[in-house]
Amino acid sequence: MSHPMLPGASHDEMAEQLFVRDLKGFVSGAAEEGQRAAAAALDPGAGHNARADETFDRLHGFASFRSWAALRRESQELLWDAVGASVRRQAAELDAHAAAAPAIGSVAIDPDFAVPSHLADHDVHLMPGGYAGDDGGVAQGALMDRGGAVYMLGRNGGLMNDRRGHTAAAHLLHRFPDLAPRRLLELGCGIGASLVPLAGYFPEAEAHGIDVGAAQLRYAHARAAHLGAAVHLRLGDALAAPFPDQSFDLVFSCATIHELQPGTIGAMMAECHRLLRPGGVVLHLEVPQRYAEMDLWGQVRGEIEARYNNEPNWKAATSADYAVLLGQAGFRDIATGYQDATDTAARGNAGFGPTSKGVFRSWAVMSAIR
Amino acid sequence: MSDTRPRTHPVPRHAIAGMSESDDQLIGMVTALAAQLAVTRERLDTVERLAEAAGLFGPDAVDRYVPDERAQGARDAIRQTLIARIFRPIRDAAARTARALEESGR
Repeated sequence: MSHPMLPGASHDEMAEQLFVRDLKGFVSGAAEEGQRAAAAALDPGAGHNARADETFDRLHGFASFRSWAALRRESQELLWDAVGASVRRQAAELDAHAAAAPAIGSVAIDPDFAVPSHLADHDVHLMPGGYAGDDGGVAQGALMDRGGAVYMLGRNGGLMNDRRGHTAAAHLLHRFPDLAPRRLLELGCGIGASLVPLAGYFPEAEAHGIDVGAAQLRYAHARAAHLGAAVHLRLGDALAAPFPDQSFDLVFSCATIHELQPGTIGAMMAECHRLLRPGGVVLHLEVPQRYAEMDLWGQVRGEIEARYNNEPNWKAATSADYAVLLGQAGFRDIATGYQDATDTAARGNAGFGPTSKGVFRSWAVMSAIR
Repeated sequence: MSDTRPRTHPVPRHAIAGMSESDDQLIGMVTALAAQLAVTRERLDTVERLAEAAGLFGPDAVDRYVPDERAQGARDAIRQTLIARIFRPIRDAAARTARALEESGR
């Protein structure tokens, strides 16, 4: 499956993007082993009350760590630099493709929308301009889409980057085989890589998505339309979605929680409860790691991501007790666990269980009924 | 309304604790240089394969190639110019130091 909105890559651009992919593989593979070993040697002990923080601090005393951390960040900055240059070369062409998209779905850009403060001046994953960057066209969405596919190293459905949407759908079809939503909403839909596949499993539903970036949404709308999907997109905050109470039968998110303002996961659960009609279904899909179950290096890596890759809510998202939070928000029939990553969802139990099979092989899922 | 103008650099960009800004910049430049080298090497590979497909010459012919004296001289000049230009800051810094020492009468 492909679509004309995805920016292409010339011979040299492709070579540079593949270089980024393989540099990242080196940095987080062979070059990371020594860091893990150093962290183990610097471990202040399980009894220390800030064990990962302390290890993270101690590692900075070594040039070997500082250089590696700098190279790790450079690999990320190079990714955006390389993809950004390629997108800028194609910007006019991409805007023309967007203008030529089939007239289905809609996109609403409210000029008075205020980007949540933690995203306005915080470029998540170091993407210059962040989710809200806007050149008036679709470029920032194209950057997000192509950059995201390179960032995922092909492990989330290749250039479609849509495996999370199929995986979320697989969980819904397993837990709620009779679910037939009339209206569904994704919070933090980005360029629609999850919304489009998920909506495809519910063709009778009116599909909506909100996000904080106008360029992301213009791109997402054109991308979806070229794929034949009618989606209705508007600027909105996952903590204060621009819809009346009880206006959806299904509200979901895919890897949005770990980009929320720290301390607001409960508020997002409450917002989902407000948006759903009684009997409606909520589903959140997140990274499969659990902070408490990570080894020391996993926790230190989380510190590195937070500090040097602008991941605001990673620790909170991987530490939250979602069953409790969903319960506090008023949901019932709560289930939490792991869903096998898939490119094709089907009814019946296709891989939901209590154990993660690992990053990119499983996704954490939490679902409940209002 | 929030300022959503696109940027070419990420914010915030925290300093790597204990690392000098210039070291960080140097790693950035080396990374970018390595990327350009990879792109150039891949382009050369494409040229060799296309030439072979067109019946001209392939990677093996390149490996077997031995420059004659004139070609070798030209390449030596290319290589030495490249070294002098890339490592110019080292030479310039030493020259500045020498001049400063001379002027201070030491």
